[in-house]
Amino acid sequence: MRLHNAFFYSALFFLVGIFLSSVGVSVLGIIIFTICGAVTLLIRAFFASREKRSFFIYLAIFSFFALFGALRYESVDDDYIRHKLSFGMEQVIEGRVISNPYNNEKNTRFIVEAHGLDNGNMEVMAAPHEDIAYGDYVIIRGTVMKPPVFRESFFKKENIHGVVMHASISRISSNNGSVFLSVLFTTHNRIIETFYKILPYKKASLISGILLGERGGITDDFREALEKSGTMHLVALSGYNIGILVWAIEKLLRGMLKERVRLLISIIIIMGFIVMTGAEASVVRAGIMALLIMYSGYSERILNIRNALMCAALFMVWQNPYILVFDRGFELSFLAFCGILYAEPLFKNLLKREERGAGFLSWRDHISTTLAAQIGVLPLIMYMSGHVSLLSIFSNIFILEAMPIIMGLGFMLGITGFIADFASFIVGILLNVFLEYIIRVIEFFAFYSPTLKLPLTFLGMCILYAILIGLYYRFTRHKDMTYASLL
Amino acid sequence: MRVSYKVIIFILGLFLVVDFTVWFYLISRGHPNDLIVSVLDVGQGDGIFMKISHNTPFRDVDIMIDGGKGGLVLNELEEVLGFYDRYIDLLVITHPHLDHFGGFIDVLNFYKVGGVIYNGREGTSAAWKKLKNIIEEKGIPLIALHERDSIHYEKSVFDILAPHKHFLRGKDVNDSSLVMNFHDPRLTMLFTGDITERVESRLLSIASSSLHATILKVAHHGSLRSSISSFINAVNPRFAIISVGKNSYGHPGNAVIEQLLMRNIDVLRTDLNGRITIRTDKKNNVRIYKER
Repeated sequence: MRLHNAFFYSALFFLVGIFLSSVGVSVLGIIIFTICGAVTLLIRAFFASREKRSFFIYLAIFSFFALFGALRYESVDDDYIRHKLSFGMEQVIEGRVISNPYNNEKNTRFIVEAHGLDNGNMEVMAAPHEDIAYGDYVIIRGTVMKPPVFRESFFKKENIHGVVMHASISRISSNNGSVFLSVLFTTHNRIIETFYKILPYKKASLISGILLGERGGITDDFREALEKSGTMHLVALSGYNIGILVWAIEKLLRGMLKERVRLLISIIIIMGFIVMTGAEASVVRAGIMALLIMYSGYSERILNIRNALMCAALFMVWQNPYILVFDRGFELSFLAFCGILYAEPLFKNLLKREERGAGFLSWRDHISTTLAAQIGVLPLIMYMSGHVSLLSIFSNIFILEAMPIIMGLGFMLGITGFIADFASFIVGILLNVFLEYIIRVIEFFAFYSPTLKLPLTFLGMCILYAILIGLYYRFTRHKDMTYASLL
Repeated sequence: MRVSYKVIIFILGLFLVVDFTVWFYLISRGHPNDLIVSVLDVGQGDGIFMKISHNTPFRDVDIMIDGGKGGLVLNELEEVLGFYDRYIDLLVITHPHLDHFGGFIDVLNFYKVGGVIYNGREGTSAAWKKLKNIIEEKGIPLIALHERDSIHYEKSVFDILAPHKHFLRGKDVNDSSLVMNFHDPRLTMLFTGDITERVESRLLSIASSSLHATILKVAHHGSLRSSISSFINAVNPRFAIISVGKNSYGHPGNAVIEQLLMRNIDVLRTDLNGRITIRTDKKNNVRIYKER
């Protein structure tokens, strides 16, 4: 078996191990599962032809990586449980603010890394407009509560060990955090402030979501419109944002700098963007993949996109094993990408993209991409909410063509906000026109697009994915789907 | 010199856009003698916008009485003011409770403001301190008004009926609310903040005759602790507006609504009707528009 395939299958089994642990299978259960799996594969190898035999033997060996996955999960889980906090008691806690505080009309919310006897991270909710920033050293007075049962997995994923509600806060000192993060969070806040200063409220909240994933300002009515029109993904940061960022960096810097310097600048910008936007799973995934793609270009090595995706997943799940099962953003992002990777070429083929070109508003490209991504996430969305927007393909065709311009103008507006009000005003006028267009499209489709309620159980979702995979292999069997290609 | 037709089309297009913008601006300004009061849909809280003109084009005055709890007020303000207009002459904070001043933090950040009026009572919350800091940093005049003060603009007058110094220092911050009777040849409207029956009783005893108004902004989001029957009798409004959103306090109280309906007063609520706009026409007729 070739090295890249060996990597793929061992990583796959590692993820299987993490998955089984996440859903509550004990280590012993996983050992039994692994041994049974390996034995089954070896028996299969015994009956297989010579060509296929080595493939099954390798798979049997790699299946033991599931055990490594389980051990990794257990070790992180032990570490989480080891943090002891005294729940239910009124306490005075000292600690450092380690997140960019989020402020709304109900409270100021931030995460504190507590120092002293009680050590662990706490989500603190204080009065609205509390004057707190990342890196502040604070004293918190309040009662530490256990994370609520229904949000336990979320808290585990975020590595938060307790919650302090109605906390009273006093600041001891400032600037105790990383300078890099401080600068990024200040930039993030300043850009959003510029949006609200220059643009109408609804548009400012939309561009904040599109560019920085900040959804706090979106009104309930508009959120509903986004859901109904199937365009909610616009305000959830996705790989698309990173894609456009990379494209813009390439366009701007190509020819100006040496390739190595360009790669370095790209890495810094992409990492900065990931951290600034709160390191959402979808952005981290896209960021890692973008870096791999750029590095492969730089080192002139052939990139296996399937392995790049697996590499991103492996890195992220190794860092935080909880995200595999408890982070919907992570799952949606990977499934959407798998959809695009495997199904988009089929749709493009079907629409005769190569012979006839992209068409008006690049509709052939957008239909293929949107359909492929939606097929990837559809079973999961049906399992999660049960709502399916029927005309979302059309709303996305009308919107996606304008997105690079909107994001470009959004970045420009964010930057000009640091330079001159007049410059941001000019950019703001242009951006306003494009955002008006997008809002009209969203509201039009929200009004006319019917939504279906098609709820699925967990088993139903698994079956649907199995059917989709089966269909894929059926449609592509005439191509290179041989055991040789898997080896 | 030959000019390409593309340049001509571009210039014509530019003129068209400018022309459209100017006309849109002029038309959307409304009649120069308009009086507009919009009770904004800011969720649970109060947020009222007034535009007062007196046949003086381009010299209308924009006033906001309370700003709701948070950023929602920005969206509402744009609906009534247009996004291009980022100047408000006067902000009035009836009392230092978050659901009345919280939105002003965003308003002060993103709008230019001529002055701020409050009751003189200082709040204790972090949000209040932030608001005061912004006002101070921007050098905006902050004026404390009390019972017997008044604000005049042409023929429009705001009579300040409360707070009395006794309530200003009292335990219940709600009772320190600025109570203002707005009167003008076109409309009278009573703004009551969050006063309870205690202040209502006092107002009945000292200023019963000055309470009458065509429109009543019902006190404290329709709370059962406010709007006593004798007070409603003294105001004797045609319309009662309750500024309220989703809440756990039980606002507005059924008894309050029944009292108003019993007197044939039309009741409008921001939680059910959305933004409520009151306009006067050329003949000084009062017209009320509901968002839903």
